[in-house]
Amino acid sequence: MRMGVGKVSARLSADMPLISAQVQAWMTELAGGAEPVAYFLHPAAFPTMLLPWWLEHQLTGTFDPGFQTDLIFSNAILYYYTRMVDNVMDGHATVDSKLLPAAGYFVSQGYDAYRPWFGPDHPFWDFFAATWSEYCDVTAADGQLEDTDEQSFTSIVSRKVCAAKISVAAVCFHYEQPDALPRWSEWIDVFGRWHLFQEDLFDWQQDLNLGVVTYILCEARRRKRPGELEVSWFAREGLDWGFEKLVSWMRQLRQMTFAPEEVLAYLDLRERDLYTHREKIAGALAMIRQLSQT
Amino acid sequence: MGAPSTHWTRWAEMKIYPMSVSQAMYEPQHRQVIVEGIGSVVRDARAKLPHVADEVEAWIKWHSSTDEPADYYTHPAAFPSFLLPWWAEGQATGAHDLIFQTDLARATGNLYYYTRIVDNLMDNHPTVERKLLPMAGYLVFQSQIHYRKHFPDGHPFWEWGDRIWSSFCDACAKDIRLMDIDEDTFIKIVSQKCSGAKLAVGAVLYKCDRLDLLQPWMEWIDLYSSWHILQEDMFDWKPDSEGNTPSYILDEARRRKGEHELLLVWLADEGVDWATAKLKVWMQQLRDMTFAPPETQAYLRVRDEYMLAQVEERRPALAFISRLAALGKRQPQSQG
Repeated sequence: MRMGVGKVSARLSADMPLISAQVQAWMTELAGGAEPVAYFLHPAAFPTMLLPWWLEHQLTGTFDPGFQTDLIFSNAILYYYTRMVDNVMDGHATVDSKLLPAAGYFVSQGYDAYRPWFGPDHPFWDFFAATWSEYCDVTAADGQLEDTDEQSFTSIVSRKVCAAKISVAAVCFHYEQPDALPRWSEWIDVFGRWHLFQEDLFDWQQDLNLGVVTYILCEARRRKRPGELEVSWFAREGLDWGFEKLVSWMRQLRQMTFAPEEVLAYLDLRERDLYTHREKIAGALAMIRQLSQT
Repeated sequence: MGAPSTHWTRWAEMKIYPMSVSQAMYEPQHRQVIVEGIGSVVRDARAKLPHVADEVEAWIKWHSSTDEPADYYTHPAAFPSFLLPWWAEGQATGAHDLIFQTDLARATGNLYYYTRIVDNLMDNHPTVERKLLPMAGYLVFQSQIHYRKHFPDGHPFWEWGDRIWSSFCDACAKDIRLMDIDEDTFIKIVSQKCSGAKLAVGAVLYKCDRLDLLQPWMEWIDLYSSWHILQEDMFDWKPDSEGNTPSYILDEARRRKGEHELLLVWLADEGVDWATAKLKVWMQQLRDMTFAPPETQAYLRVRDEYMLAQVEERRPALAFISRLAALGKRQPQSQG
């Protein structure tokens, strides 16, 4: 991880002498002042870096450090692209918008990282092109949604994580096992729903204040009683409703028996964190429920 | 031919460029290449972006103000991004590979729309662009895949092209942070904002194995970019000033004008002359680049004439402002 993410900094210094310092300062800021790699090691992060690692180990029982370094480099730099675009779209990023022209560099670097591994006519490139177009399409569509229901959450919002499939596909194609790709793609789709929804579930208050359209806030609007505040709905039934969804998606993930042990351990960890988080807010929600009833 | 488009009517009304100028600049076959290249940007968006294709197509057409997106690129005041590879190939081989040129037009079109999205957001005029920003990554990728058709991995074009692309992104990101632009930063950074246009020219020269022309063409593009951007900044001083958009001429005004002198008065008294003198020097240097084919000379003549015509059009107003300012300066003395 350190090598792959470190390569981003090294390339920036070499390729973008005019703006490298500012871009690297931004990367450090994202990591809370720590090394940029710390950002990707956060346990609540989407497992973009873990997926190709798990898969290569599953397929070969070992790791090719050079290959993994390039996959991590590509994932990291495409993630920086995503973060920059997201922050500017949210309209709260003064620094990010000034760095925006670096986004084009990020994209070309994320793409170039695969060039040593796949010849120009390799089917990997068709997958890359289709998945990258899908990612850009759903991300732009997500930004235009004014209302989200289960259908649009599943077909648009949660598919914003689909770029994570690219490095997984690289592993499948590199080891000539493209048959493994559809089931891993499905895992990413379902985990994407779980991951984004639990973020929305716990960030609902911030999202409400910022006017961000999320599935759970739209559902709150649809389901709350006339005159009822969103917070009351969350305390009365919203959190339970949200948890039912999460439980159902987690069940689906656990039924995907092709996934190796490490994946199950990872799901255990994420689920444990989720319940810990729920416990933390349970007291406050109970109080709100009581207040609403009196 | 049907009635002139709204876009062309507007240009004609402004008496800046008659439609015939564009027709002379772009051979019919070349215009067809551009129409096809830009058309494929729209068609690709339809095929690959099912959720936002309508918005993307509307935004692309909005640029041209017509149903033909290519009109935006072929108006005579546009940067000659599409003319450059056409000229270079004509010079290098005496002919044009229309399939190759169409791919270059596709690559250039995607790249231009990427630049437009990012630029408009940074210029603080974003409306649609903020929502379309995720298309930036798509457009960059689309731009590159058209080069891949002609240059396999490991081809020296890539090492050169990657360097040009990185420098272009670097300069654009630096440009937005510039607080004070002098001639040095203008040439080294600001004018590099057009350096994305080098990619298609380099592609032609690598493909035709005419690397002897690479350096001269890169110098031509650098110099022409300086000319192109400064004359735009000269005419756009008002919106730039109102929008707090830094530019070389506005920073030069701050350096040169009197402490209480109005920007407009400095422009009328000396600013426009200062800028046109710079433009004249750069234009002469461009004309002295004798490696360039005769089409570039004709192009430069047209651009120069129209730039000067626009300046002349403004002369009476500038003279009036100067007289008024001079009167204002004299008045307190005569009253005293």
